[in-house]
Amino acid sequence: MPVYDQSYKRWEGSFKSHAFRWWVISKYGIKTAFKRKAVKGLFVFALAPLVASAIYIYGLTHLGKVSAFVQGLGGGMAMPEFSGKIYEVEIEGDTKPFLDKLEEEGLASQMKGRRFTISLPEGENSKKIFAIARQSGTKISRLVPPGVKASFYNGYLKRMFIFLFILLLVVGSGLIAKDVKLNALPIYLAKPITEMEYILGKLGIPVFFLVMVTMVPAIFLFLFQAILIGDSLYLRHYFWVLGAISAYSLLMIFSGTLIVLALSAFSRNVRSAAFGAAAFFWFSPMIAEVLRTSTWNDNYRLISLPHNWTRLGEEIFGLTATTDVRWEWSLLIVLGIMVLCAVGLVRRVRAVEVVK
Amino acid sequence: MIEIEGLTVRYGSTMALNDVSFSVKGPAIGLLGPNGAGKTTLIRGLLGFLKPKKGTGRVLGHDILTEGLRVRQIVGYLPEDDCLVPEMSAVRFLTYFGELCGMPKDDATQRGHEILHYVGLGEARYRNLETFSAGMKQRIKLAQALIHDPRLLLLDEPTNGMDPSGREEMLHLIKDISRDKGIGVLISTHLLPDVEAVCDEVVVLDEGKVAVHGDIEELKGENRKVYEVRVWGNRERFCGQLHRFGYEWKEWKGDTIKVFVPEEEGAMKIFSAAKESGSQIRHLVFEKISLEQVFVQSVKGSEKE
Repeated sequence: MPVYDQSYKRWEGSFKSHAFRWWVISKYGIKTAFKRKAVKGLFVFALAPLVASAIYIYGLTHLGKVSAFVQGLGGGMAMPEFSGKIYEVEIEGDTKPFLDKLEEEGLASQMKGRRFTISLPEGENSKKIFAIARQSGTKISRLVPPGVKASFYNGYLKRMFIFLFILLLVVGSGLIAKDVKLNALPIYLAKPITEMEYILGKLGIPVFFLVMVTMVPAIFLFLFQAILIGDSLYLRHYFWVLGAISAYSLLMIFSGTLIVLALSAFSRNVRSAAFGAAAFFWFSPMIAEVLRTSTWNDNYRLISLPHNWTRLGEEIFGLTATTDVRWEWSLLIVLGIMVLCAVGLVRRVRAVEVVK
Repeated sequence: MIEIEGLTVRYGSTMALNDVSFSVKGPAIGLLGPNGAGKTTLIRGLLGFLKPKKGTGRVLGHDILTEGLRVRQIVGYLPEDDCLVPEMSAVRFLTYFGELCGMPKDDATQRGHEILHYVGLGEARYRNLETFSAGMKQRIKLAQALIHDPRLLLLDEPTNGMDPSGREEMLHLIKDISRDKGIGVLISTHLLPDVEAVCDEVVVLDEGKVAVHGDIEELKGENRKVYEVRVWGNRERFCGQLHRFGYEWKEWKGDTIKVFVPEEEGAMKIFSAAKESGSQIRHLVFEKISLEQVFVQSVKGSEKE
């Protein structure tokens, strides 16, 4: 009977390149986090708004009656503006030939100055409007496609704040604190990886979860809307929204993750790291609100991290500001916090803790 | 294997390593010293964890200051403290660190299983690390140090917290690794029997300085008798005469000389050397040196200095 040799054997293989060693830490961290029921449940629950939004977009795009019904239900709520299969057109020069041609084609429209609101039947798209303009010798200066507007995606990401916070607390607060507490840093850093790669690897864990519940669903909704409308004009007109979604999501994700990781690195206790992070996310808006209402100074909102995110979101998506706070200040504060946390992390993550 | 030149490390106002220089070729080196002598600091320095105030060093030909990653790619490290990654089974832990070293996942997994069998944890492969006993934790730490098949192992107190039989097995493993597998081993410990059991060469550190360095056999004077001698008269001529007889001798503390005499010979030639050099023997003691004596004397010696 063959007996398996259990003595020490040399390894004859060759090592992979150094480039993505940090990803090993992220990969194992993501798998470990997914083993926890709380994380799985939270992750699935965080995807609920995606399903609801997808149903909303589908309903509004396809079913006029449902659209009207849903909008009616929305009432005074802050529903995103919606125009169904209705195009907004602005033309140059004389409006009469264009209007005549629309009537000739039997298309319903409303006119206000040089602006038209044109309703196209199912199966038609912006090519029809361009054809009418060509035939009537009119030049279109602006054509807005139907479907949800940029503010819808901003609203979607804002609604994800709460999931972002909870996921960060659950997934992120113990990431470095446990390694510090259990003294695992020396064995990590005795391997051929740098402190920076360790931090990157740990950063990748919450970033993965947060990207999956914010940026990816928002981009999915955008593409879903574009496909449902069936008009490449939507993609062309709102292409910048993809950039806005990415920029806004990544700004929130990286600033939030850096805060939680820094707190985790400076604490041996997962609970105190989580408490510190909660203070950032929940208590800072409370303090800001108390100070603002007692002094009537809007700039106290700068203390609040969520407010700074909201303000930057408005700017990134080109929306009207809802407060008097300057977005440059918000950006400066968020970037400042990120830099502070990154510096703290780099200084804290060491194989040897030197007490002077 | 390891060359250190004037390595100086400070922790604030505390001098942890003070101008440490030595060169060792292995395969098994003992790093001895009392608590706080700088053993762990030296190992951390070799791994590039600490920035020395001055000095330099090479591990297997790689500069410890500028080639830290390369050094850590070919070196395995067993830290002194308990340090494990939570929420992992033993085999997953090894696969993880294998991959971190750059091994393909399948190779790391297969090797993880092999190494666990080798260190005697084959039955506990799928157990969570948090449930391991102190002895098992030492073994898994050795396993993670071996996962990427290093050329040198730096072992910081490898038998810490182990029961006698576990300690015996651990020493047997280390011996096997260094003698039969061609992997260099540097063991930092304050347990002299561990060093005697495994090592050929020893570096004794005391208060951040090298107190003694050399082959263990040579230091112990094995296969030879050792006489502690003090002479009155012309000491230089006496030593020259010893040399002509083919005897080795070593300056010890104060005016004492250690004279190494072949096993089959007695002290007669020492007397002859004294007679021919016109000196008088004032003190002659035969002694069998143990490593413990070497250690105690070298540490005492450096205290006096």
